[in-house]
Amino acid sequence: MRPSVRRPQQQAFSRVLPDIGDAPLGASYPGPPRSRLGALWRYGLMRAKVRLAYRGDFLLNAVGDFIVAGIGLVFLWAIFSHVPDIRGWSFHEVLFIWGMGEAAAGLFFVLFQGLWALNQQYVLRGELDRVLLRPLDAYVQIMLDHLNLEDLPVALLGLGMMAWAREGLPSFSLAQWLMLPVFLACGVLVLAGVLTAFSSLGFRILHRGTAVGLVYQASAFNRYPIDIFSRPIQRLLTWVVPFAFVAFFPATWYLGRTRWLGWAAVQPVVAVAVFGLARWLWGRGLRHYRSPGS
Amino acid sequence: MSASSRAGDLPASVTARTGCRLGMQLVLAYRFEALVQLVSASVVALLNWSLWTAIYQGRDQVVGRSAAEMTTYVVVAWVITTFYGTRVDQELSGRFREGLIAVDLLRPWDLHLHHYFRDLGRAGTALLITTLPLFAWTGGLLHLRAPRHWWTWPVFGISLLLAHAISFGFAWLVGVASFRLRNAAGLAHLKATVIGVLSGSLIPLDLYPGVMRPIVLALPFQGMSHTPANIFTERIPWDQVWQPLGVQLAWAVALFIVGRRALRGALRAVVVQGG
Repeated sequence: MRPSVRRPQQQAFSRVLPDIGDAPLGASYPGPPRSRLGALWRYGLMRAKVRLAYRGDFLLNAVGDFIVAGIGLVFLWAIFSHVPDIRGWSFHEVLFIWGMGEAAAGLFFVLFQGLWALNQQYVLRGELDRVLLRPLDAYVQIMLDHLNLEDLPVALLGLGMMAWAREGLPSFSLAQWLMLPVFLACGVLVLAGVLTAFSSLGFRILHRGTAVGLVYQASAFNRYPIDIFSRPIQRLLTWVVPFAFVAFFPATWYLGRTRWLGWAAVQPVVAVAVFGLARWLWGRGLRHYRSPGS
Repeated sequence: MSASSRAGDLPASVTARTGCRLGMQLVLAYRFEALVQLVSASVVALLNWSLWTAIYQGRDQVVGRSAAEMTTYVVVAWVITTFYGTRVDQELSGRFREGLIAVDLLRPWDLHLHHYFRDLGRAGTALLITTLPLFAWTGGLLHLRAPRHWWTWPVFGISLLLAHAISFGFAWLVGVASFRLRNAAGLAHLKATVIGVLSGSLIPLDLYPGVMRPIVLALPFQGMSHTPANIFTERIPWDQVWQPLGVQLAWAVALFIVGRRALRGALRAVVVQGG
């Protein structure tokens, strides 16, 4: 039996909460997830719903990002309308490399936008507390929090550029077709690895700003054939911030250039190693986290 | 509430002084951002310089420009974005989103003028701590071509000031538009794109092919990077330099007037969102 004193309070709540009829509050809840993967799926789905709630904003962002990505195309078009090649690289070749870089960058922004928010939102403002309380990997949660479906069209634009470039390229073998998704996925991993490593600095250096965007800026170099740059820049892009593995090295295989075949072949290994190392660094950094207590 | 000068407002000179000072303080308060801008503009300048150096391999001239002139153009055109690049649109939409625009309108100065001078203060400080250091290292290491005549410097200075006024005028309109749209994130994206393609900060606008060229040259955005960088590389002869400057001035004034009108119109329809 319920004590009657609770009645007024319940009525007050019913004015605030939407009317759900007679159904019990948990009626639409499908029960606890059966596996870790199921939990992640449900978490990601929930975050995607949150992002889609502002439909107009979502569309404007998607269109905006798409057009920003399209600047590159205008830029290339303008240059190649005056010169036939850049150091022996034709329009279609550069377009293919650019498209591959764009596709990897688009997918990267869909999945890893959370790297940008780490410093301010999670470490300084202490939202990491909430994340750490849940029995799921903190890194994955943060990335899912910022799932950014708006940038899927950018990835498609990149694929479109690659498709367009094919008219000036030798035709692909079956092996090349099969490896294409692998190279793309590993390109995303290289980008994510390098930037995850830099974002983990945020645990040690408490600052509003973050170096992630800055390092990302350097990835603009991966849209061009690497040998048009000076030696120091080439070494930097191969050994220090290995952005040349995102698109350029694998792309050369499709362009029929043999000079970088070895580099292209090890790209998946490099990608897994870079990302693995970065995740390890990130985990080490996480130990330095001290809640601001706010 | 009217956007034009009201009774009881402080005189314009006070608005200018306080606005400029506030702008400077804001830059100095966010030093880390200034450093980030310095490094990131360096990266882009280096990228564009490398690209054009490669393009000129085995060529003397591309569309009537020598390698030295072209590399100087692309570096200068990008470096000056750190001067004129304004975030007044985001500030304005932020004040609006948080409902603080109501407080801003109570202050004893003209909102439009205040923001102009505030951004001028921002630009002046950015000039000292970001733009000039960028000029120094790129000029020294990338073998840029310094102007041959002394008068190019003051003319370039005036052109920069006008470039800033155009940039501010456009950003102001974007900010005011966000009053009605309630959200400016997507709009800010579009603004960045428009400026990236149409200002000539990446590439001289006369390199655009066919149909695009006359259109981009007729728009106000060419006054942001294209005109100052062409003045710096002395592409425009001395006796004709008043023409691009006049075009810049005309656009700056036009955007200023339209900006005031737009603000007045928006304030009539404004809905102040509670805190």
